[in-house]
Amino acid sequence: MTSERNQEFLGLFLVITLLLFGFALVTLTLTRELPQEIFALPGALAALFFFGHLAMRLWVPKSDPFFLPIVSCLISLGLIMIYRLKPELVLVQVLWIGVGTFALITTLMFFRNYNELENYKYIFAIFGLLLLLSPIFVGKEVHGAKLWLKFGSFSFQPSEVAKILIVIFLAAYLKEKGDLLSLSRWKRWKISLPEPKHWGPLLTMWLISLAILIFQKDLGSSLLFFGLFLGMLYIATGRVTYVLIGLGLFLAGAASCYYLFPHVATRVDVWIDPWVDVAGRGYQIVQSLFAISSGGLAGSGLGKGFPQTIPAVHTDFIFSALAEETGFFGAAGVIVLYLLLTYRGLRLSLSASDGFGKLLASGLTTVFGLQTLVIIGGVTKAIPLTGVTLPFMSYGGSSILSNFILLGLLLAVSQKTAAGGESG
Amino acid sequence: MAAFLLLIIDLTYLQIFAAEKITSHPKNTRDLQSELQVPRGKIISSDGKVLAKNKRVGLNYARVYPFGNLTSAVIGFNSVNYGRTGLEQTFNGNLLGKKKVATIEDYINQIKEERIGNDLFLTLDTRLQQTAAEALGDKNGAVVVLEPKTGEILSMVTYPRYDPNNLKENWKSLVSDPETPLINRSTQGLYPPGSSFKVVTSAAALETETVTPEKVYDGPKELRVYGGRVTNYADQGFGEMPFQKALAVSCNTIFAQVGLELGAQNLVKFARKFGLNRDIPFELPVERSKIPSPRQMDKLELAWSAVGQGRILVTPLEIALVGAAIANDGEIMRPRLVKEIRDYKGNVLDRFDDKVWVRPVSRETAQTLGFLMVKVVDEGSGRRAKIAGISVAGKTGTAEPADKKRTHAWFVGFAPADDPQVVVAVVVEHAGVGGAIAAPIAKKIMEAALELVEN
Repeated sequence: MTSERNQEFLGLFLVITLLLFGFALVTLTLTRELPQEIFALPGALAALFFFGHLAMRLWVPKSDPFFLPIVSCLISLGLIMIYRLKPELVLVQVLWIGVGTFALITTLMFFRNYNELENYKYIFAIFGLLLLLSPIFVGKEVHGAKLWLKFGSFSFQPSEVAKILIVIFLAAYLKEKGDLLSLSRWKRWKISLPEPKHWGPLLTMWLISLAILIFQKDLGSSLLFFGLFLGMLYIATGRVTYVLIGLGLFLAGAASCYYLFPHVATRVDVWIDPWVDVAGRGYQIVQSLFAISSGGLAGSGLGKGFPQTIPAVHTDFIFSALAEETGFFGAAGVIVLYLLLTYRGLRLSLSASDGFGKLLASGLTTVFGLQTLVIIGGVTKAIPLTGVTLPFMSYGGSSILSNFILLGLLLAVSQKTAAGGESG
Repeated sequence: MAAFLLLIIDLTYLQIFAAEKITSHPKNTRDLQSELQVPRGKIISSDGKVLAKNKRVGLNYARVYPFGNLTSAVIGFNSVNYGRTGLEQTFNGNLLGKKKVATIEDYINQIKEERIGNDLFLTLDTRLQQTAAEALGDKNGAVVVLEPKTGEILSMVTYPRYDPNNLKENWKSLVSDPETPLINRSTQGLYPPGSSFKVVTSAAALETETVTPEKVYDGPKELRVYGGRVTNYADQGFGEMPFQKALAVSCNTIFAQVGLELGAQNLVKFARKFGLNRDIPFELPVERSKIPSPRQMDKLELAWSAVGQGRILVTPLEIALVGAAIANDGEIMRPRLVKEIRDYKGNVLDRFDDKVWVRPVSRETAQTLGFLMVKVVDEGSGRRAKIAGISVAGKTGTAEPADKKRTHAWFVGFAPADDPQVVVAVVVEHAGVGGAIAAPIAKKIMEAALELVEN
């Protein structure tokens, strides 16, 4: 029995209390009755959390005790909101969380010696790219963006899984080439850069991001992947120049897209002033703002608001629904949870004992944190709206699955770091 | 990391500082949606009949009006598509059960309790409403029945009417109908008062001691004034008679002389005291009754104004209040339709007390004039309002409309004259002579009202 795991268990206990209370409250508000059956699915979810906890006791006993309670808290809040918005989807979401938990356990079981992953980096790179770009060729356009692969009635968002593979690849690649990239032998206009032959990866990632933007019309993923790449590049080389050049490249690319592609221009125009076309193009973001603002300080109460006016409220806009019904207290609380998770992740990457683990942890944290910022920033109109899911809270299998794998890898790095380089 | 904090700052802006501005945007349908989910309070007549209630439609509620077009002028409607009118509009907040949120306790109660609307209890009596509607029949016009000592409106009828239960089917024709069935004529119809206005002229003349009931005037067929002339109805000549007789037979040429003696200043001053040119405090929208300013009145117009023609326009409610002043010793009580508001458990939340609105003339003037108005019904133009065994006071009016079509028939009266329980004002558009058309309608209503008072 380690003290980390006991803390974790205590955290989980609080989360499960919150989960059951939330379900009871929503049910009472919406139906004025409280049949016991409604506790079946949250009960199943609690059991899944417990399985995850047991797996961690078994394989990563010394890992960070904050990760699982925070993640299960986010999952619980997400499930409460889905239950309130689309009760018919709760079962599917719980099944996906089950698949996710299985993926987490599998990750802990087979990949807790994550250094082995380094050896297969190019395989991950190829699979990642294939997944990432596959919707261009066989994808289905939903809401003006090609993000989905459809197999019969089953649809899958490949970019969610691709992001993990790309992080593994980049971590391995940058660990190997990081030193090379941080050397400056090539000088022009008082700027020192590595030799042009090493620019390859930077330019490749830039082109891939642009390809996602142009062919998949997926602003969110494009931003996410390029931001991820720049973040990891900075951590691997410690050079701000890369970040600045990268940002410049991205802005240049994005700006030309604004003029070249009408759907990008629309997104930006709607962001600048959604109020000119409330009934049309600005509808979704304006409904989201109505929801968030009507929440006020304490919220309307679970089940008492009207977040259903927002299209896609249970996926990309779940944060707006939460902000309406739990108010500033709830919404800011959730942001603090994401902040805490990101903080633990970055702290882990700073303290990680090996180069690959450091890069892996920072990459996973960056992709997780960026995705959260991009979607919460989007629905609050802080930045242009892009369609990505809110990690652990949004409805959707691909997102849940990939974020559980992400969690598993972070826990593995954490265990190894805490155990002083020895993996459990 | 800092970006997360920026998001929290952004959230503070959206949820606290700009919340009011954003949520009040007209395209935000939250208020409307939440209102649909609240069971609105019932509206209940003074005889205990439900005039408005709810039916469930899915998660929402919709309004049902059991009395249909009989009460629509007062109750109005509450509709997602067409908005709100009548008491449904005026008392929307109460009907929705909105409560003041002043303390933390209020706030907690608001979260805990399900919102249920509060019920309105009216002064309106459906039996009298039915009688008045039947008495008016299918002629365009309006009836106002009130209790002079309290200001309670017992009945308010307008014709043509609409059925608030099937607005959707009829909306287009209701809106485009030239007979304007959506307008409540008793509060929003502006008519020339004709001789019913002689009550105001007489009150002013008695109060200022310009006349006494016995003061004798010559009532010729026509009176030449300032390059024009004032005539009597059907060009009748009356000869010499005292003022009280002139009121009873409604002699225009004598009242023109009284008006000239009174002067435009006094006539307009008293008209205003009775409620013209001012807003009547009421639970429904009321058109302002109008009289031109004295400066705009030459002698000829003054003479015509004293007999209720010229540019004077009044609502039936206003004329009823003029009658109420005489019936209630010179005091007009504030007219009202709602007696009290109760929550769904029956606790009284708000009770509306009797309040004096204005005091246009003294008790003596009112009593003298009341006595003269009994003569109108006993032996003058209002004989058809006479009720066996009860003394009725009244005044007829036959008003020439601006379009010179057939005259509007007016009657305003109260009964019993010695202890007035009910005031009735009737206008029937383009129907002919007040004494022949409006007086019998008023009689039926007064009889029914007195019978209800007795029981």
